[in-house]
Amino acid sequence: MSTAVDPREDPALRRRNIRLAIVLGIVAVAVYVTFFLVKGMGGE
Amino acid sequence: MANSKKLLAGTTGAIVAAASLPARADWSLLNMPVGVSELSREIYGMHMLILWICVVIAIFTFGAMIYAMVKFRKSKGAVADMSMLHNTKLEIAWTIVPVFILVGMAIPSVDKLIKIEDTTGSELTIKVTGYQWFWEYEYLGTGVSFYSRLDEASNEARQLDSGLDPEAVDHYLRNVDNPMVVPTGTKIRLLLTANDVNHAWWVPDFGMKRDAIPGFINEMWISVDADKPGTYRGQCAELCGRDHGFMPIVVVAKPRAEFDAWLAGEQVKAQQASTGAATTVRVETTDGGESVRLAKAE
Amino acid sequence: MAHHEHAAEHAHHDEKPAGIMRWLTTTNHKDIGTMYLVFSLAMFLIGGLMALVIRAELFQPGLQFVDPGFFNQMTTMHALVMVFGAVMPATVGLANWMIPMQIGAPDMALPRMNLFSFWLLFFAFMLLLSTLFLPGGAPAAGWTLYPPLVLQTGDAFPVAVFAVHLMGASSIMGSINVIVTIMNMRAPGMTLLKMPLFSWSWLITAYLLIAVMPVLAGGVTMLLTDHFFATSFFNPAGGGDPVLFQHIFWFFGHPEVYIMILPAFGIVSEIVQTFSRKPIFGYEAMVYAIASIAFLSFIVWAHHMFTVGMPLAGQMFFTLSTMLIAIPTGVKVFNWTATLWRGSISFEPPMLFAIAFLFLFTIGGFSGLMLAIAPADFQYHDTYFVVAHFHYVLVPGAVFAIMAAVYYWLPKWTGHMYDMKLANIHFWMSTIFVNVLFFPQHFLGLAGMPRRIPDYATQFSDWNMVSSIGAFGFGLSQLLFVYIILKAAKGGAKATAGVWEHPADFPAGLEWTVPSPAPYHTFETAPEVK
Repeated sequence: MSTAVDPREDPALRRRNIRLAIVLGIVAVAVYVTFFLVKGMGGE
Repeated sequence: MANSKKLLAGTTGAIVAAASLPARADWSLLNMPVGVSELSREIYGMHMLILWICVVIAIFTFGAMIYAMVKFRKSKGAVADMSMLHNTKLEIAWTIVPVFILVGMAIPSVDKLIKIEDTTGSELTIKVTGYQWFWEYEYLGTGVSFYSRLDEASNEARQLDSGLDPEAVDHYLRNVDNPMVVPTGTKIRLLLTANDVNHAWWVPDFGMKRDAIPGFINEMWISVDADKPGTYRGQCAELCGRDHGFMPIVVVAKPRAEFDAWLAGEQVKAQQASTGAATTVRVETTDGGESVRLAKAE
Repeated sequence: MAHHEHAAEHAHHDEKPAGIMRWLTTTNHKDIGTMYLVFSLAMFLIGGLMALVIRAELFQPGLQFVDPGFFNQMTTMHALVMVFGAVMPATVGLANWMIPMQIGAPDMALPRMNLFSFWLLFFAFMLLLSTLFLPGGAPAAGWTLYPPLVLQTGDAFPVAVFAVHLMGASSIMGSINVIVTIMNMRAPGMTLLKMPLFSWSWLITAYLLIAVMPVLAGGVTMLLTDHFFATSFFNPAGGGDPVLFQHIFWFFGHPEVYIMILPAFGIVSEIVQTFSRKPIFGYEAMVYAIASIAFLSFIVWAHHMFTVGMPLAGQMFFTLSTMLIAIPTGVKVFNWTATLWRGSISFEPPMLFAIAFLFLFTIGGFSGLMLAIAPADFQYHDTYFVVAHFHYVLVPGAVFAIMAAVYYWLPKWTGHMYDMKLANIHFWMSTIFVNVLFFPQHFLGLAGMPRRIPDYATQFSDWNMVSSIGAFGFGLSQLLFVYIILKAAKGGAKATAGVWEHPADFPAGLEWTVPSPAPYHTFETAPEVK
């Protein structure tokens, strides 16, 4: 799990980095959307 | 190096120097008012209880830190004790002991909360409405209601570059044209709301503040001690726009009989005013139904 | 050396463009870290000027300098600039510089996104500051942006909302970068529980940011649609609920407070152990304490809203949950004290700031405990007591920790020792004036002075005057800070790799094994961590 190769030289690490970043990004967007859904259901 | 001593001396020195500066330093400018109601005294007691608990804990923690800084200085030849990296018993102790202290604070605070929130058994209900930037007081069921604004003397002095000395104004920014009047020794329920933005109604001597929020009605109760008639001052405590700092609250607490006389007088005035309004309505009826509704709405 | 073998391959990123293009196009974590830190220092000075406008007006009763409307713009902008422009970017800058060096990584995991986050933040602040010059002025409803008042903002409203969105996006991307770097790029042997506490505190902070920044973005989006598209999320006239916004804001806002203070905890832990010449007491307890504080921050938000008229059960719940925070916070303070205990303490400038943090942050913690008690909070709420409380945890708390970090790592960044004598003077002036500035505000609040007012009843004159004197003293002291940094950047005595004393039985962390100044690229081959 732990390496210290520059991601620019290691495509596998680069892929892992981007994959984790996308997952975290999706989490952030999901929190944002959830807030509208919660308000939408509770407010009507 | 004497830096640790200097640190202590510097910090406390600054605080002491600051504390001795004001000429009029008296206790009322340093601490929360005890207030004039049972509730405010209990809240004050709660405040002092936590304050003293914090002071005691502070003496122990700061004492230990200062001792360590004086005693374990490299310049005095202290050698680091590498065996002191953790100590399960000690760590459990300083996790558990605070729990007990916190429980000791939580019990009385829950007890007081229940009392504060109990608005039953009130003898008088006053509806308080916040506006940008004044208050309206409506004595429910009596037909008495009026607006309460910053008094003229303060209003002139508070203008930018007015050239007037605020010290020369009687109760600068804490005076109004029409104060709220309440009877002493009576449980009074306040219903709080606002017409435009959020406000908060606060008189420190009564121990409580509560937000006035448009579209909602909040409740709180006050009760001024029977032996403490007088004038009590506060102001809006929730940012409400440009003149937030200029919407004071003044409450005049009168003995029951005096209050009843005042209320009766106000009722007569209100009746006269509404008879006046009715006359207007009658005059305007000739113009058509639309104006009638408008006139009544006024 | 491995470096030479690969020289041909990575020549493309070893050389850096000269002049301005270096800073516009760099993806190097050290350059980006520097940009964040310089940006933060600039914002600290701008936000500080706003604070001085506020304190100048409050020097004596009556209005002397500014219109009440402009005063409200100043209080609002001061808070937004200090929170989002000074404190947060400073900790992000420190994270950029130090996390890869502490965990033995060659750079941040996503260097281009790193650069993008910085420029987003930069433009967000250009937008936010531009609102001062728009018709109707800057937002004036407080940094808490409570409706319905905030809906009365002029042309600045959509601009400010957009700026908040950009800042949020920037923070989220910055956090993603920190998490990915720490999870994927640690050197062999650098297990999570060997990681320095600064990196630990940032890992937890980054998760907090991802969880709450979208909540703020959601809240301000709803404000925007209420203002322009006739929705009624918060507008009472259309059946909306103004209190709902307060819940949303503080669900973001309370974790936000910890986002500012957790990295400070990390910094102070590192500095206290270095200058006590003894590893931190109870390392694992420190990690768990940070994690518990982060968890608790999600269930205490409504203690900012005790006066909105919550149900009794709600008030009790939030009083009790808030009091719980005192337990992990206490563990941290006790562990720091135990680290000092039987250490071998010396008082270099970073240590002085860290010690001031221990005392003054703890005072802020005590007032925080008092504010947690709902019945007492009915008196404290929205007074200067609250102002004193959060400034004690933010200024001699978070800001002092950041200054301690600068004095700790500046020789590593520049390769030069800074002027210790001036740094000591800076410390004493800051520490004395910060207390003259904020301690009297406790008295003002208890005696009944509300916050966010441009003018006050005359009984509050004396302490306001003392506080304003402290403010100007504190503000001027910070010019010395700027001078010390500039002087060290230009030159000075050469710093060694270790910079500070590292006894043989307490080996230094990875950042102290590379030369000072740290080479443009560190750890191109992974260091071994035993």
